This record gives sequence, C-alpha cells and structure tokens, in this order.
Amino acid sequence: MVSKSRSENVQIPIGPQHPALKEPESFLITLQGERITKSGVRLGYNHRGIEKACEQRTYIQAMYLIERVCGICSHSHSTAFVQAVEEVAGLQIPRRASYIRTLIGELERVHSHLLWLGVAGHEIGFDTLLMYTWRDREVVMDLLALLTGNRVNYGINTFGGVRRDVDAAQMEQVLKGVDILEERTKYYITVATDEVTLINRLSNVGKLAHDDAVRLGAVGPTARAAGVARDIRKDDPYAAYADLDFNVVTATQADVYGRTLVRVGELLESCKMIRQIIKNMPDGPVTVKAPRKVQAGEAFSRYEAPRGEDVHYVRGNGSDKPERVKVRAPTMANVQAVAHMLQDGYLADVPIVIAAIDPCFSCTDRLIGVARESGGRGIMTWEQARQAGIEWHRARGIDFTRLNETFRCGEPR
Amino acid sequence: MNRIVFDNPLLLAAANGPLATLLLIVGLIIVMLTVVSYLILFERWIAAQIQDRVGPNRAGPFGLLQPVADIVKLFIKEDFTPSHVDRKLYWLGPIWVIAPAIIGMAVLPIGGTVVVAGHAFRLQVASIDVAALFLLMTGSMGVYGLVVGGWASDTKYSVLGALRSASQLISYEVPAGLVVVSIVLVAGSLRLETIAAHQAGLWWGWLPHWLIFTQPLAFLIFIVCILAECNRLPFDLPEAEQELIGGFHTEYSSMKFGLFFLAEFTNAVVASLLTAVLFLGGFGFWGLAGDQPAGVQTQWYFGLARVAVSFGKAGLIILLMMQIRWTLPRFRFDQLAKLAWQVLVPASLLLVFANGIVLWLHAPPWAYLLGNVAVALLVAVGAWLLGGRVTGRQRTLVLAERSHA
Repeated sequence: MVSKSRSENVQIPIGPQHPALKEPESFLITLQGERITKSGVRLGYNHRGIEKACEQRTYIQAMYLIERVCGICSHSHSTAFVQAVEEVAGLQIPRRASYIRTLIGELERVHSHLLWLGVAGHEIGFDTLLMYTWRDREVVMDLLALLTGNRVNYGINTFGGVRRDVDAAQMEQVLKGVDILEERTKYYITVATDEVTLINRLSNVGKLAHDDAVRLGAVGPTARAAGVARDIRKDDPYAAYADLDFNVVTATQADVYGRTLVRVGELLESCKMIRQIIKNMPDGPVTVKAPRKVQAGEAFSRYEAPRGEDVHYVRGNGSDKPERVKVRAPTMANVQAVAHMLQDGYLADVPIVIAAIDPCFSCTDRLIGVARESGGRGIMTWEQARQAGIEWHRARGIDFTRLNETFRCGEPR
Repeated sequence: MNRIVFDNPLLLAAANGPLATLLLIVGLIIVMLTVVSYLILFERWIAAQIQDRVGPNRAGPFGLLQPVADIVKLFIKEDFTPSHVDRKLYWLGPIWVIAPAIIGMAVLPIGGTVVVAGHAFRLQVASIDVAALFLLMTGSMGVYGLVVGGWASDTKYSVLGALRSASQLISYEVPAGLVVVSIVLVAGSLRLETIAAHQAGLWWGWLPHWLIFTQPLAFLIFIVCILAECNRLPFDLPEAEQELIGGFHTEYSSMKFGLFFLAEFTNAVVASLLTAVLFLGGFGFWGLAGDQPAGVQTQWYFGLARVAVSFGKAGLIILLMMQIRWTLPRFRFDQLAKLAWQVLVPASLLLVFANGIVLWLHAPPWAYLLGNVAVALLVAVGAWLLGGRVTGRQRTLVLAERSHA
C-alpha cells in the first residue's frame, strides 16, 4: 500500500513476472522519486536441475540435455561440455570439425547479438529497431537451419567432432548471407553512432567502470565495454580460433552505450571470421571414434559465448555417465554487476540496464547445497562459504585471496 | 429561424435548435468513435509499413474488420475489479478520461454552416467565445482521470504512472498554452472560427494564409506538446510498458481499459483537429470546399467537403505523430522535463513577445516569420552557450587490438 507508507522511499518489484524481463527473476528496486537508492537481485525462479540430471544420463544423452541449457547460446554450452569431455577422454578432433564448430559458434554469435540489439531497442521503447534486427536475424537463422537442420538447437556437436559436414554449396550460401548481414550491421553501426536520441538515451546509463568490472567479475561484452579486453577466444583459444585473425572489440564508455558499440562491433568481427573460416576450411574427416565410457578424470572448459565466458566442469569416473557436471553461464558472472550499475540510476533505466548484460536467467539458476566435511547438511552464510573455500584451497597449498592485487588482467589499451 | 450573423461570412454563426444540436452530438460521437477505432487499425498498419511487416490482415478484407473484432474482444473480456481498489474512484477513472476528450470535440469548427431545406445548420455543437481556452481545459481535465484511475488502482506501478502523467502535463501545458497565446495575439480572438477565418485568403494567388507558414516555430512547439499531452511515444512515460507494466491502466481490464485506450486516440484526434484550426486554416482549402470569405457556400455538399478537409488535415498531423512514434526511442523522465523547461518554455515565451512586438509595430505578415526564426536562433544559441549540449555524434568505434604475447 503506497498510500499508507510513511517513508519517502518506495519499493518497486521488477519481477519475477514483469514485461521488461523475458525470464523470471526478481529485482527489488528502492526508489526515491524516480531515482534508485537501492536494488537487490534474487535468483532461483527457474532452477531446472540440469547438472544433477546430467549425472544420471550417459555422456551422449547429457550432451543433448546440456545443449538445452540456453535457447540462444545452445551451441556455446554444447561445445563447452563436449570440449571438457573430449579432454577427459583424450580425444583429438579433426581440424575440419573444429572449423565447423567455430563456424556455427560465430553464426550463433551473430544471431545472439542481433537478437540483443532488438531487445535493447524494445526496452527503450524503440520497437522499430526490434523489428529491423529480428528481420535480419532471419538470414542467420536460415543459414543455421541450412547447415544443421535446426534454427535453435543445432545438435551439430558430438564427442570427437561434428555430426554433419558442410559442403561447398552450403558455404557459398553462408558467404552470401554474411554479405547481407555485414551490410545490415554497418547500417546499425550508423544508427548507433549517429542517432542522437539513441545516444542520449543510452549514454551514462548503467555505469560499470573498468575496476568495478574486474572486481565484480564481469565477463563478455559487459566487461569489454568497460575496457577490459578479456576474450577467451584470444586469451585461451579453443576450436579454430588460434588460426583466425580478429580483434577483441572494446569500448571506453563503460555504459549501456558502450555495450551496444561492443556488440555491433563484434557483429562485424564475426562476419570477418566466418569468411576466414570458409576460405581456410581444411579437408578431411569431421569426426573420430569416441569411446562410450570415458576414463576417470576431470576437465575444465572455457568458451566465449555471445554473453561472455561460459565455463563447464566435467568429472568422469570411468563409467558411461559423468560423475559431476558444473555449468557456470555467463549471466551468473554478470548479474552481480547489475546492482552496481543500477545504483543512483533512474527507474526508466532499469529495463535497459538489466537487458544490457544480455541476461539469460534460466541458464544461470543453480542450487548449491552445503555438505559439511564433518557430515550433515546445513546452511552457510556467504562469508562462511567463502572462508571455507579459502581454507580448503589453502590446505592444498593454493591461495587466491590476494589475486586481485597481484594479478590484474585485461588492462585497457 | 435564419438567425445568421453576417459580420464574417465564413462564420455564419447560426444557432442550432435543441433537436439539431442533439442530432449533431450523436452524429459527432458516432463519427468520432468510428474514426478513432479505425485510427487504431491505421496506426498498426503504418507501424507495419515502417517496420517492414505485413500488419493486421486477418479480420475481413485487408483487416478492415479488426476494430470490430477488437471492440467485441474488449466487451466479452472479464471486467475484473481487484479487491484492493477504491471502487468509486476506480469506476470514475476511465469515465473521467473519456468524457473531457469527447467534450472537447464540441467546440471544434469542422464544417462551417450549411443550409438544408431553408434552415441554417451549423456543423459545430457549441460555438463559444473561449474555445481555445476550453480545449486547454478539457486536455488538463483528462489527466485528472489518469491520476484518479492510477491512485484508485492502489498499485505502485499505477501510482507512479499517474504521477508521471501529472508532472508531464504540468510541464507541457505551459508551452502549449503560451503557443496558443501567441496565436491568439495574432488572430485577435479566442474563438476558433475567428482564428480559422483569420487564415483565409491566398498570397500570390496560391499560398494560403495559414499560420504554419508565418509561425513555423509555434507549430513545431505545439506538435511536441500535443505528443506529450496525448501520452504518445516518445513521451508515453505514464504507461511505459517496460518500466511500469501498463502505468495507470495496469489494473484495468475489459472495456474500462478500452476507454483509456479510446480516450488516448480521441485526444489525438481532437488535438490534431485543434492544430489544423490553429495552424492549417481549419477547413480552408483554396476555396474548393466553398470556404473563401467572399463566396462561402452553404450547400450541404460543401459542408461535407469542409468536414472532409478538416479531418484530412487532422489525418496528416496524426500521420506525422505516428511517424514520430515509430522512429524515436522513448524519452527518459529527466530528458522530458529538460526539453519542456529548458527549451520549449523559453522558446514559447519569447515567441509571445516576438509576436506582440510585430503586432505592435503593425508590421506585415512576413515579420512574424522573421520573429519565429529569430526566436529559434536565440534558443539554439542559448542552449549551446548554457552547455545544454547533447552527447553528440560519436563516429569512431573503438576497436582495440589485443596483442597476444
């Protein structure tokens, strides 16, 4: 009841159900007039138990399940998982397979960034941009359907390579599609850099400075817009990225406008990469034989999804089922920065600031149960959990507590 | 019966009898509501054209039955009243919004006078002396409905939406009022027929004496103001879907919601008809609709032609409003207030002075144009000097290469 509230502050719930959010998530905003004085994020409305479900499935079943972690970056999750399993199994995939994975990955990035541009337009009441970008997105969706048979869950990966080969006619089609996409992307860059109302609406909104981005562990375009040149494709190249010539797009604005510039810039880089992949596509088989049972061992795989660094951890125990699968979607790393970005902003900026990290909440939701080494289950506060983690590592001779002071990655250039 | 005042032949201010007035009111409401419901279809069609889509084409040929389907849908939806609302005010809200919008139509001169079967018949419900003020009043009254509806809903989103519309109205009523003042200065009357009649006649035999040509800045300010007062994008903050769900109408359903929706478009029609009267010479159309003071025609078909001209001009303004809606992102609240108080209010205030000076000097009409241009320049220079500069164009995209050692 607003009318009975005595304080000047009004609390507005954005979510779990709200038109600005495409998935359930709760942001509790405390307002003074139209200004935000406090904001809180609460996750956990969409937990699907995928990690646990993977443990009860064979590797190949788990792979298809993992692909369904995210509706947009399905290939990212699938590839990150497959890479981890291949590392445990000691598989070396053919070069052609890694090129095809990269090709699908970059097409997926184009499709994801175009989608984001439309959503961003919609959040600031600019539906025409939404309609334009989503129309153009059809081009890349059709290309993906042509290459893989599906528009969303491509199912191209398998352990030891990819399930489908790409023929010359398809590559020709992709090149044609990329020409259209590049032309349209250039148009959106003109819109983003010339349209004064758009620039005014996005500039100085959702500020996340370089140091804060590093401190809060932001990843992907959110971090790169703050000048943190952190990109797994360059830092820790996987698939065919080591062979490709591309730039890591960064911006100095450190606001929503910067994030827009980074994403449209990455669209151009992706087009460039797709051309290189098709030009240098090596010949050969697309798959090697993979064992049904994977030997015991663990692996950690990083993948630069359109939204940022996607991390998968897989531990095998020699059976045909993984013993443990851990997924950390990029939104998990970015969502903590949202509260910082919203601070002292306007209510009108909440939707665009949340949208600017390109959130994917269903992918993010995780459940952590605490099983004490002394036995039994209980509740731990965040501080206790952190302290327990530090001590556990210290007992094994690893100390990360002074990490940020001794090692700073991604200095702006 | 023929009580025609011939001091200005264009006015032919005949008073209608009670029966004729009632007929006119019913006719006008029916025409207006039809126009408004088709306007919604038209808007969707325009949006589809701008956004490279197909648009509504399922209901009837070319989707022409879409308004009928929409209204039927609204009527058969459950009319749900949440338990926490203030019931009386909750009911009053939509009525309070739609009533002033419809009342506003009464004073608009849309067709002059016709003579049917020997009886003079004025195509205007009420010809009052202060019609311009009356329309400003109905515009403000409608916002009370939004505030009342939003407050009665007792939801944070609704209250915030209502508060936003109140402050938006305060911000934009001022420049709109000042622009009307400067037009009234020039035309010498608050009566809309007189303002329209003032614009009759042609320069060089082809350019009408419409005030848009001598007062372009006033026209521009007025268009921006009516966009804000009709809650249309880029100024639709009170119902910003992405922030406030539906704003003041979040808690309304069925035809109560329909009334809010209808009122918004009715307001848009009334505002554009007013703009047509103030700046585009009302029903003046190069004398083709029997509208020149020298030879005003009272045949019924000329009357219909004049109504068509009025609505046609209003249609052009609505088209402009729709184009703006689909090409610009929504303003943020601080940007909206800044635009009103730092640009529009000073500009319209200066405009009143400029027009006053030209009037005082008995200067020819082109002096008004000069005054407008001078005010526009002054405001632009002032905004630049006071540092109200926009972020500006950023042409360079930072593409940082990261060397990988």
